[in-house]
Amino acid sequence: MRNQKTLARLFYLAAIGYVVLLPLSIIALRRFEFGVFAPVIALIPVLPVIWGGFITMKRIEQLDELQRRIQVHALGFAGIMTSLLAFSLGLLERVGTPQLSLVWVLPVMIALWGVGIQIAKWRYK
Amino acid sequence: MNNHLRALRGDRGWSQADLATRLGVSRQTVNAIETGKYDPSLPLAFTIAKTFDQRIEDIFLPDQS
Repeated sequence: MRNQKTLARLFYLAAIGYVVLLPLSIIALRRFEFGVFAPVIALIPVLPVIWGGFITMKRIEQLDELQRRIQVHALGFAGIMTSLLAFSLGLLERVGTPQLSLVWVLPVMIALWGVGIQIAKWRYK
Repeated sequence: MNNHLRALRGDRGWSQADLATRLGVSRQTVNAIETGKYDPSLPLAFTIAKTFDQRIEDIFLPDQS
């Protein structure tokens, strides 16, 4: 079983990969014609995100029982709040609110996951 | 659930981090158990009992309701 430091390093690599590949993908799509391969180029930044998600699951498996419970609460909070926000924004679009790109769902959910972790940790202090 | 974990740990001069290492859990988990904010699972309760060489029911006290 990989130790925590190794998993952390692998996660940072995934994050760096995302930060590098996202602008490269955007720039490439603006500058060149990829024809039928354009969706492939557009989806390249998803690869490090999938890798980061895999590492996160491995990390959660190594947590003790209370930490895993905290993660369950935090993920539940993030999922519910993200869904509520998306639903609310969808309804607000009917009254003129600008449409927000779906690409923001993942970063919002990750941010809310972080908030959820802090709330859950506070409950057990 | 109330417990005597803090007293037992103190008798041995262990810090929460020391006990966490012996139990294979985080220091946060040890603190949450000691303060009654978290009830351990049965396997962890058995590990705690074995660590202190005591019975589970001598360490953990059911809530009076």
